[in-house]
Amino acid sequence: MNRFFGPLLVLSLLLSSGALYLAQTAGPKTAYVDLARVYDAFQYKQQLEQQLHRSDQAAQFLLDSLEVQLQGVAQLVSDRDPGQLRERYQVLQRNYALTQRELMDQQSARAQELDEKIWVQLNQYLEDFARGENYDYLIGARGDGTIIGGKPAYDVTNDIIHYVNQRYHGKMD
Amino acid sequence: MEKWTSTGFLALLAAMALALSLACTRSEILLPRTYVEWVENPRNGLRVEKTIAPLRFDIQYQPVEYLVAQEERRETLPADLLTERRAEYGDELDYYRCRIGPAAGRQNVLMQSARDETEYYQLIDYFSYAAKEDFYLLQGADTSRCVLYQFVRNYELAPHLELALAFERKGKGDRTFVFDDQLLRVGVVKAEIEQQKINQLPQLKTY
Repeated sequence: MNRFFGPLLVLSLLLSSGALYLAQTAGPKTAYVDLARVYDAFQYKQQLEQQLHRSDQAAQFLLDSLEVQLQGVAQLVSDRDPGQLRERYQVLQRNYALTQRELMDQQSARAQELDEKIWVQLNQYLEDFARGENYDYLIGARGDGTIIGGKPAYDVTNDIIHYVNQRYHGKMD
Repeated sequence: MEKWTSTGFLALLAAMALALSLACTRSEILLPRTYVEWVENPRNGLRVEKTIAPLRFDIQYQPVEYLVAQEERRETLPADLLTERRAEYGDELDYYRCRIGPAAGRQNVLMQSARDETEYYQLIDYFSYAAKEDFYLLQGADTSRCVLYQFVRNYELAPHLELALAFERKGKGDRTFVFDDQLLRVGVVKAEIEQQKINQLPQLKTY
């Protein structure tokens, strides 16, 4: 029994020092992700985009109907007509401009609000992914030159697209 | 002789497989307190916690036996009481508790989310009434609207807000609890409760 003790001790020392060396020399776990692709493929973003599109269409429908009224009155008004019709035309014109501005402001605020909701969720899921996969660095390539290129082996974009959509649908919590 | 040995070995294997499958399908029988703990343990899949910073959502699927065990607060339950209470609840509804709290810290979520006093009262008003319309349950292609809703006020004594909800049950299958938030600025929050996890529910011990 004792004759095995020496070689076993040497072997275990060698193995543990090897493991320690590997742990110290191995670099941090790093990957990059194409955020623009993740954003586009995020199903919540796609759903909100459809909502926004529908509300854009409703706003445009309202503006179109005001424009038709305006054009109808405009055809009846001539420069020589100082009467009620001209006054009505001016009221309609003001109303149209006002409604157009209000709708544009509303839509722009709505788009910003929806975008914030998308990023609140995406940021959380990206953070959870990095933590869950034990990454030291998960670098976001926004297509603006932050990361010019990289080996495809370090690209985890597809994994992340799958992950964020699963998380959005309430799975894997 | 050799033939008999191999047949015996096969029979033994089959018996072991049967015993194993019976052991896997037979649910545990638990006392009320342990039953409640089992249901509330997120590892058993009936409670889903989801963080979308700065908020944390805690969604608990509540089987009727769990509700009875919690309401009765007894060490043991008589069988006829359980039958009676089950009948009161019926089996048309799925019950849930949803807690919305801060992802970090102990600040009350309403105080944390409101930017001013007006928004604070808007939030209270929203969760008291209008939010009911923003909760629903997805089951396959079916959507169940919330039919029972209660905002359990704690007057900011706890950091989270608590909602008790019930939805019409549309058969069996995985359920996705959905909150389409309108005021907390986190968007749609979903949590899936798998039917397989519901099937694994233990039985409530009665006498």
